[in-house]
Amino acid sequence: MLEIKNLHASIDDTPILRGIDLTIDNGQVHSLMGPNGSGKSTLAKVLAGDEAYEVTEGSILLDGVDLLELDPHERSAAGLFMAFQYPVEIPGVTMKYFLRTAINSVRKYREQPELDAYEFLSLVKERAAMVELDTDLLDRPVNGGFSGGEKKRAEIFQMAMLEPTACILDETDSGLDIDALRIVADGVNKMRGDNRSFLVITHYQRLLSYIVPDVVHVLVDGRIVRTGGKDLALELEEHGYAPIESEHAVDA
Amino acid sequence: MTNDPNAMLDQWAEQPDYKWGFVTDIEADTVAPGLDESVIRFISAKKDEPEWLLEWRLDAYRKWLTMEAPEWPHFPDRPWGPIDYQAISYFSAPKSDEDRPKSLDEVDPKLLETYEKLGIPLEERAALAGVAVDAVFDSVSVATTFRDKLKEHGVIFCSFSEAVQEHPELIKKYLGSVVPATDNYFAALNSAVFTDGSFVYIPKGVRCPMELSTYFRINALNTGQFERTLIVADDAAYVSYLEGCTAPMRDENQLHAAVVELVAMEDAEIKYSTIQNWYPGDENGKGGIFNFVTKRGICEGDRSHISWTQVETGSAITWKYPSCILKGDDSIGEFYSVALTNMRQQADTGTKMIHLGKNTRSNIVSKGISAGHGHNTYRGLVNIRRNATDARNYTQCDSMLMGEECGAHTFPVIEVANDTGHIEHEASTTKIGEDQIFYCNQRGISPEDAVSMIVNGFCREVLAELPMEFAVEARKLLEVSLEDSVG
Amino acid sequence: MSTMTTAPQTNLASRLQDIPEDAITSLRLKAHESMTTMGWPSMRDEAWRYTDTRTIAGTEFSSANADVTVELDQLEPYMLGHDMPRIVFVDGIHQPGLSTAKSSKGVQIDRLADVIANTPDRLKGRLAAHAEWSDDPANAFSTMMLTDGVMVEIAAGASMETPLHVIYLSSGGDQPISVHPRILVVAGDKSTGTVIETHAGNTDNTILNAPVTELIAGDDVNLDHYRMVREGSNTWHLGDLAMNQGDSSEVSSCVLAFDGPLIRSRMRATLAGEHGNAILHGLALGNGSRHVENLLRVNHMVPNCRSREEFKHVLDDKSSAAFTGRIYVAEGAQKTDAVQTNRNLVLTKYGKAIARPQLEIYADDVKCTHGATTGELDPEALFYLQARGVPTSAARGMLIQAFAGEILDDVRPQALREQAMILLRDRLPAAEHLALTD
Repeated sequence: MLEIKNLHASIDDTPILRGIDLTIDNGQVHSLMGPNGSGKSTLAKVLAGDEAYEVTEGSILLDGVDLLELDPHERSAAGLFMAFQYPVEIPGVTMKYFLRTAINSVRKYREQPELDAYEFLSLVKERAAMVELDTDLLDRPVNGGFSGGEKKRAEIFQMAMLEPTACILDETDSGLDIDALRIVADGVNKMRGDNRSFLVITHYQRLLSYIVPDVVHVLVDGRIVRTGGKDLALELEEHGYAPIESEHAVDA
Repeated sequence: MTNDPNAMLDQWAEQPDYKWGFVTDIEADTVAPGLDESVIRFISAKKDEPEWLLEWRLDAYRKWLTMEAPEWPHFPDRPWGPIDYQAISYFSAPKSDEDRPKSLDEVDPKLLETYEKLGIPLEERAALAGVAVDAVFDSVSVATTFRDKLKEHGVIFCSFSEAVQEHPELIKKYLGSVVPATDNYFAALNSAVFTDGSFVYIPKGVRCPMELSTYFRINALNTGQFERTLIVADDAAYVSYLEGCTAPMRDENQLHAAVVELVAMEDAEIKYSTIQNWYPGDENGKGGIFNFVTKRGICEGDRSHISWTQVETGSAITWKYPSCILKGDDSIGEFYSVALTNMRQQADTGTKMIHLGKNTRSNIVSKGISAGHGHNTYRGLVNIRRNATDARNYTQCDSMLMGEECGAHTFPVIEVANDTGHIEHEASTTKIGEDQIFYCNQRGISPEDAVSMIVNGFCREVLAELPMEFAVEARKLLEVSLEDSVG
Repeated sequence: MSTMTTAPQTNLASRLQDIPEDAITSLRLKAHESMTTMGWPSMRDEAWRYTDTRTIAGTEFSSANADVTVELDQLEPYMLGHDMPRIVFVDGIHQPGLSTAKSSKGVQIDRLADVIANTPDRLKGRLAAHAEWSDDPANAFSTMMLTDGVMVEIAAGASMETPLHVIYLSSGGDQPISVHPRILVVAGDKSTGTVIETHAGNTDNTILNAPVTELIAGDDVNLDHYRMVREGSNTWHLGDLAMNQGDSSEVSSCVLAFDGPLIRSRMRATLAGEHGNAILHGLALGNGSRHVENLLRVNHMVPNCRSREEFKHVLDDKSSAAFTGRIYVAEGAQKTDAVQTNRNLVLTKYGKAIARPQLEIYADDVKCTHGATTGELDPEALFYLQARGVPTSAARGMLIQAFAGEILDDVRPQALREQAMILLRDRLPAAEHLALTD
């Protein structure tokens, strides 16, 4: 369960998040929508612990653990995963080596035994199939020369490998064609389960046709201004963000 | 612990624990500091050298006296004053040299322990690693393993001193044939006072059955180390040779001026790998080895191949340019280098590829990592002569900078004197991206592991050239410096 | 400059004495002192390693004969149309009859001789402030003999309507002469302008031409500079250029080296204000035994600047070219973005190319790259064209033109670009030239 309470965050003294309250129960998928610049991606980065942002108020608990007390890699080990909007390239480090280091770092933190080469490769095979990822990609440098679709699929694949309890998808649909979108969504859907919560951040409704959310939130100017069911996304698709933005413009 | 990459990188500047900094308390024969002809005569007599070799040394010494130390290496952060050559002792040997050990059983247990600590298997269990080792302690070779097995294949692998006694004809023929005694200031000094080193001869058509390896260790105080390595691969022979170096922590600078000569005949291949981890000095630049080395190989025969791979993490100052003279047609020269400078270390390193033969190829990959107040300079020459038709060179020089006080410099020279040569040179400079570290962190990888992973990724093409055991060692070496400085 | 071995000409002091005292006498004396200390460099000196100055050092030059007259039709081949305002010098001597450029609103164009005589204060902190003579004998020589030239001052916010064309024509005589062209451009904040220099001569006389150009740009300036070199067959060209840029200014300079036995260009750009952009381009065509030397330095002194250097050499016959380019990034000059390339196309067995692309970097958050390539015409491209029915000679011509075209495409003044294209064609081997003119 991911509980965000009265979260305020700013960058270079400019407030971006102005009091976010959001609780995602295990087993639930929440979607966070909003216009450009509303603070969606900021929330993802603050959750993951990006030090460019300063948390000025509020709390973030993951299964009761205070994430704000943890460094980014410890948050990951504690079960938080963020799929990056722009996955980063690391030249010379193969995806396999990277993932094995990641998975064993996380397992060590969780006091689980490290995976040996055989166990690791079996897991890779199984999870790669889940997101229809060509395992040849894993011998290439991390995200190096990957197409847009490959990058996003690789993110979901890493998510499947690390088995997090809270998954943040930051605009995972951006830059994907319809086939890639379906594959990514299938991967996420397969991972839905009683012990896992999802926060799907997106600007458009179309991803939500594939990953059907339990709850939809609308973020405007760093605050959640509306919360509703999956139909809210359709409503936004039809009318755009303008009506909601003007409704809340006074607060800005 | 911190997550702030900048703070982390600042910590890089702090002194990593130099794990090889212990001093072995061994009774040693050391001549008083100072250099004149009598010292050279002493060294030569001590080694029972033939007259011609003494003359060769004295000749080099007399030339050296007329030469000037080079001023051009680029050490912006560390102007190195003139070295007092009279303050250095030119010979130090473990006492047991008097009755040189016949087998490992006779080697001073303390020495064995030293190499044990260094992680160098002198014991026969080295067989498992498939590596034959020559260990050079201060000025002399203390043990060479697996000689008998190598002998079966006709391979000669012994200390330089022994080679002078047992294979004088080979030494006389090849000594100074690639690096003339008066090639440069430090080569001349080495030629005058060299004490020991390794000699390898691989006969025609023989593929050396195991990796050959020499470990150099400077132990005694105020001594210089001047070793000499000579490797000759006859027609169609193959050898892979590794060298590793460490030294104790001392407040005084110590001088290391080695010469390495490689000769590859027709269809021969020599792979020469170095892991240089001499003591780098402390974070204020106190102490550390001055590492002035001349390494050069000649691809004498057609289709011969010389490959230099080096991982340079130690020394206060490094000055070396392992080079290839591509004389035979279709010969190949390669240079793969990782140089890491931290604290106040300065490295000026690179290579020269001289293309004389037709269809010659050379490949240069240089990765420089600068942290702390370290400065890393790539200096190289690619020279394609008029008759070297269809010669090719590809050069890639990448620099990685960590922190705001360090520097990375690239000074290549490319000379092409005909229309069929093809040269490509690329260089780039980058830093570790904060976004890269954050990405790794998000996947559960700690900041220090992330830095080490990114650095290793940066060096990957070079590490891939090392023999397996050495690659692991090199990776660890890079990682160890990271762990200890980032944590 | 440690290994200078050659003494300067013996008549330097007396030549200096012949120049009447004026507002910049002390500058000349200082330059003379530097020159005397340095002498002409030997090839052991790093910066002059590939330039043989022995003949220059052994030649006693005198000043030009003031009576030389030149008709417009002699000038015509070097002009860029009749309409482009020009200032003409012959052997360094101003030609009022051939010059057409006039000052206009916000753009003050003067002879340096007039400025020195009447308003020398305008030169303070500008003339010889950025073009360093103390480490370069050619510049020191030029500065000690400086008496005339051109000063262009663009007021803040002003724009030059058309490019200004400064033509230095060399003629010479029985005695070897030296010429010391000088151009000083001062561009105020938010100004724009273009200055083109041509150094030309249709003569076999022995001449040393040592032009020095200084471009001083304030903030938000857009300034383009071109130097066309078409010297005579015995004219040594030792050029110098210094540019200094303020915040957010873009200054470019392009050297087009076509004719002359020795064409040396030293160029130095200093980015002194943030968000500046320095662009240095060069194209050299080598034939005969010409030696082309391009010696560059870009100084990134402050953060957030960008620089681009691209130099291409086409080497025919026994010609040679040496490129030395250094990108210097000072401590603290973070976010520097610098790219340098040198490409050499060697057409014959006797051509020689030397590339020394250098990076000297003292800041960690920078993106600096350099690349150098040397090679013959791409055999695959050649084969492809032949397979499409293009005769070999024409195919070669096309590829050479394409190679050079990447530099010429960025030459903005159309008249100059077209002239350069024609020169390029004319200087290709005959068969290739013929094939292209169809």
